[in-house]
Formats: sequence, structure tokens, C-alpha cells
Amino acid sequence: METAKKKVKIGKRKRTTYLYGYLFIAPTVIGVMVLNLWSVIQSFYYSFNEVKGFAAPKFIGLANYARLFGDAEIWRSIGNTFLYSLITVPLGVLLSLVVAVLLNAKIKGKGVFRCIYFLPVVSAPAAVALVWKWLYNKDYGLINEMLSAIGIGRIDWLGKPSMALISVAIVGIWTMVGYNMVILIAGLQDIPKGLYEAAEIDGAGPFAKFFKITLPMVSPTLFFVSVTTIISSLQVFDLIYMMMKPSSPAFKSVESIVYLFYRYTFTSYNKGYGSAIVVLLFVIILFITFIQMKLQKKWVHYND
Amino acid sequence: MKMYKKVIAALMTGTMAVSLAACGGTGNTGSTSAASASSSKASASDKSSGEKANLKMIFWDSNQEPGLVAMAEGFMKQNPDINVSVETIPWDEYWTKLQAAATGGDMPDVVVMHPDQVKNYAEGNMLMDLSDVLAGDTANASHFPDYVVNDFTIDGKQYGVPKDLGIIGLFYNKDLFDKAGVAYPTNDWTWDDLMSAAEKLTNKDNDVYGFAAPNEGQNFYWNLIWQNGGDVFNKDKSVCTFDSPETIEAMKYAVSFVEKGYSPTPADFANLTQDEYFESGKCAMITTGSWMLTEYLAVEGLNFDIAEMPMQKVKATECSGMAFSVAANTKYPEAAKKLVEYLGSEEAQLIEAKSGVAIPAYENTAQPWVDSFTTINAAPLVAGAEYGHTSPGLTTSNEASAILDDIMPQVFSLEMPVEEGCKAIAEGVNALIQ
Repeated sequence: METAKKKVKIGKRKRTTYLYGYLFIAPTVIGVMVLNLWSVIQSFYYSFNEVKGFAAPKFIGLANYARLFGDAEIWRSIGNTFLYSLITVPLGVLLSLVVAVLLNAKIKGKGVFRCIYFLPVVSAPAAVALVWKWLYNKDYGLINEMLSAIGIGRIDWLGKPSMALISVAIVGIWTMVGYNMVILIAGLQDIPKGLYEAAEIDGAGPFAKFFKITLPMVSPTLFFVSVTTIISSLQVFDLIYMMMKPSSPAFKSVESIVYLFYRYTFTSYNKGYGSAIVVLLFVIILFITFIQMKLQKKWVHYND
Repeated sequence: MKMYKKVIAALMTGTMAVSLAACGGTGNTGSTSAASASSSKASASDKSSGEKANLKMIFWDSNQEPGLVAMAEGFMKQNPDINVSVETIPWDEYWTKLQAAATGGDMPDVVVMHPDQVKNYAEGNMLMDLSDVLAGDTANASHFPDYVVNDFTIDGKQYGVPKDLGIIGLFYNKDLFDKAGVAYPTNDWTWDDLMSAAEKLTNKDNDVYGFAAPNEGQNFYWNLIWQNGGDVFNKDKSVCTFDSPETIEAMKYAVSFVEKGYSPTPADFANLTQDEYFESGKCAMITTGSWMLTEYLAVEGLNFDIAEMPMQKVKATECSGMAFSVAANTKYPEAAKKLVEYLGSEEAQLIEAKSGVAIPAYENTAQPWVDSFTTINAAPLVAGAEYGHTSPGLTTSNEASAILDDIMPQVFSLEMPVEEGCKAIAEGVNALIQ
């Protein structure tokens, strides 16, 4: 980051440096342009058209959006998605921070624990969802076996409408902790040791050190983690797709906005309406992220 | 420091929000994160000649792959200049992938087509007109049941060479029947027989249910509706008749298994599928399709047999045929046509029959299929072809299925009265098609 700010004195050298810079980022930028940006533009375009089956897009103005606002299913799935975010984000980020702080301390077997917490990240989501589905099984699942052993009754994790979203959220938290933990550990290691030494000389206890030094110093990383976690939680799809079936009575209390997008676009062959749904989600994410960017002044401390 | 983090955050936000929308657009980047496709390829004969046509064929059932590979090999033996590879894409992602491939102009040369899906592809000009193949000698349309050929005929053009028939029958666990001292189902069972057997077989102490009554059309309630003289649509498919007295009565009968506790509930099926219930000996009877035979036979200790579907007013069962279709933009139109013509020939369909994975569509080739089983009698399934109904076309390919997905779980969970549910479905579907 320092090199980027450095002023290059010689014009020709500056040009070569720039050229190399662009050359190095070219693969990524071109990839983003081709794979993402073009699709985004097309999604916006499709959302103003009727695109059914393999027929050519037919311009219908705002009809898709008009349908969107009157569609009770959309609002229900937005509600489900927000509820999922409300459960997973605060708990997930808090848990990630706690785990990161603990695994950043001097303890034995740190590497092993870090590996264990990171494992869900490198496991295929489909495999994760399937294993959890077995664990959650009402009659034969390990979780209910354990619960009944300690005297708590069996819970219908996946079949009961009021329970299903929580069950999916638990898996969501479990899979996110590892990734966030690694980023937070990196943030924690950026904190100069001198600060802690000075605080110790002043007689600060472990809690004072955490709240007065660790938390403010790690807040930029924490901010990044919360932003990305909120976005990915609003896009929840794979766990629902793998763990729930549309024929289940609990499905409608879990169906997320991306699932709805998937259903319209890929199983109902209505790409126009599917695109309108995804544009709505895009606007929601943009709005929430914008608010977060504004709010960061209140709690994020940058040390320069 | 500050700038850097801000920029990174903004960039990440941007790409994450955007990469999602990505799959909405082109469909090329199909985003199902489902289990990875198990793909195995039938390798080519290695005689190298100058211009060799390479054809790719896809299908969704891995159980049937050996049979399909055997058919492809039979073709390659006769046509050494054409190479055919077979790939299996699981059902859950088959249509997503095919749609994406077709949109991207990269459709496999030969695909197995479903009657519910063919209309979309035909109207989108994705499929080749195979009328001349079906008019020829080898795979002449007259050798196949009319309704299968008709299912793949859109606006007078024929888009599919019939492959096999999927017929629903009543599968029962012999051990559970013996244990409960109940006589095995016969081919002339009525609804009352089914209900009273389900009652006797249900044993709550042993966790055994008499019958599986899942929220599923093809394997279960469509059949009941037809057996009761009802239908899902009127003759010319312009009105949904889900609210007819016959249909409502049939749905009431279907749901009553759950009501009386003879079948697991939809919440139970969210934990274990109906097939898992049957395979693990927790359900004595299940109505399902001929394609499940290979899977059930592979389950150790599952001692089962098959009877024809029970009847009420008439005998009826779903009998939907699959077909081979050719991509309109295939690089090798002649070779692909040759392949589907062979696949529709008596010779190829006999290979399919002997492999025991599917009831071939070609006339009089079902007996070798029945003979391929030693431990069970598969003849009752074949008998269903005589009184079969094709798929009502209310499944995945249109938005009508969303209406069913919304209402049926409530009906089967006993949260919504059957009559109210049926009327709501008819109303919703009619609003959609009119």
C-alpha cells in the first residue's frame, strides 16, 4: 500500500510501472468484466423484458417490477432472508471474533484448532449440507440422540416450520466462522505488541486490554468481516437447496430470495421475472452496505 | 491504511453483490452448488479415421448408464466413423445445466428429453425435427405407443424418438406383509383393499407405516385422480379441473393415509424420503415408478415385489415415455440422426430391455425386460402401459408447479382442508393459463 502512494519521478519509468501494474491486474479485471459485469448488465436488461423459455427478450417496461411488489411470495422470502441474516450475522461475527482472539493467544495446539475451525470453509457446501441433514434427522440423527440422552425431547429440526430456518442458520454460522476467523486473526496480528506492553505497565487487566486496545484496533477488519458476512447471508442459497425440499411443509418458512430467483429463472423458465428479483436483492444489498459505510465513522478506528 | 481497507471493502462489496446477479444473465455460469456431477464416459473405439464425428449424449439416471453405454457401443460397432460419449448429469441439475448449455449454444448433440420439458425446447427452436426418422423403417412411429410419440410432437413436428416408459406400480415389502399376516396385494385391488391393508400393516410400536403417501404427483396422487375418473386438465388442456368432485375425492383419499396415521407425515418425509422409508423397511407399501427397481434391488435385505396400481372407478396409472432428442445446432446433424434412429431401433431397445434398467418403448420388447429380473415379477408394471396416462404437464417447467408447491404441503400436513386446497389450485392454475 505504501508503494502505491510513492511518487515516481521519471515520466518514462512511471509509464512502464503503470503498464506493468495494469498487466498484472488484467487477468482479474478481464475476468470480472466478462463473467460478472456483462451478466450484470444483461440481468438489468432482462428485468425490463419478458424472457420466457428460449424466446428472445420482449420489452415490457416495469411489468416485472409491478408484479414483484404485489407478490406475497417475494415479501415472505425477503422476510425469511432477513431473519436468516439477523440470526447468522451477529452470532457468527461474534463467535468468529471470540475464536480469533482465543486462537491468537499463546495456547498449545493452536495450529490444530485453527485447522479444525477452518475445515468447514474448505469442505464442499453440498457435503456439509448432507452431513448436517443426517445430524438433524428427527428419528436417527446424532443431535436428537444426544438431546434425548440428556432428557430433552427430540426436536424436528427440518420438518417443523418454526424450527427449519434456525436449523439452516446454525449450519450457516458453523460454515462462516472459519473464514471470518482467519481474516480477524490477520487483523489481530497487525496490532503492535507495544500497545499491550504499555497497557500492562499501566496495570490494565485482560478485559480492559480487549475493550480498549484489541477491539478498536481490529475494528477495520471487523467492519470488513461484517460487510461481507451480511452480503453473503442475504445471498443464502446452497444450504437451503441441499437441505430442504419444496414438498416439505417447512419449506415456505425457509425459502430465501435467491432460491426464489433460482426457481423462477431455472425451473420455471421465466428469466425476466427472475432477473427482476435479483435486481431487487442487488438494490437491498447496495442500500444496506451504503448505510454500513456511513455508520462506520461511529465505530471503526483507523490508526493512521 | 485507511484508504486501502476502504477500497478493498468497497470492491468486495461490489463483486459479491454483482457476482450473484451474474448467473441471472447469461445462465452460462449456472450457480447451483449441488453435488458435483458424476460423469463417466464411454470411451470411444480407437480406430482413427480422418473426419470422425464426435457425439455427446446426456441422461440423468446413473442406474441406467451401463444400459445406455451398451446401446452407444452397439451403434459405434456399426458406425466406426462416429464416436459417442455418454454422460450422466443427476436429475436435480440436469435441466438447469441443459437450459444453460442450450442458451449458450453449447447443447449436447443428443439429450434424453422429458415430456414436461420438450415444449420449452421445441418452441425455443433448440431441437431438430425428427419427423423423417420416425417415418423411416428402423424407428418408425408405429412401433411406439401413440401417446409417447404425441407427447413429443409440438405443432405437427416430432422432436423425440421414444426411449422408454416409466410406469407406476404398487411396490410392497413381503417381509412386513408376512409379519403382519396380511395377504400380498393382487392386481385387482381396490382403494378399500389398499386402505385396510395399510391399516393392518401400520405398527407404531415397531415404527412401521402401512403405506407411503407423500406429497408427490407423478408417483402418487395423479394416479389416484385418474383412478377416480378425474383429471388435472380438461380434454384440450384449456381448463384446470383440480376442483372437480372426482379430483377432490381422490385427494381426500390420498391425504386420509396421513390423517389416519398409516403414512409418515410431510414433516417426516422432510427427514427421510419415501424411498428411504421403503428401503429401510419402515414402510410396507409405496407407489413408485419402474425406474426405482434397480435401486431397490440393490438394497440388501429388502424383500419386495410389485402389483398393479389399485383401482377405484377405473384402472389407471401414470405411464410417461422419455425420448431421445437432437440439438438443433449440432455439428453433426446426419450422424446424430443416425444415432437416434439406431437408439429407437428394435435392436437397441432390446439391449435396453436386457440391461433391466428401463421398460423399452418399442413394441413387444418389454418381455426381455421382465425376464431380466429373477427375484421379482415386473410384469404388473408393463401391464400398466395399457391403461396409462401421460404426465399432466404440471410439474417443473411452468409456474403452475409453484402453485402446487405452495398449497400441497399444507394439504398433506392437514393444515388446509383438501377441498379448499384443490379449489385454490384450480383457481391459481386457471388464472395462469387463461
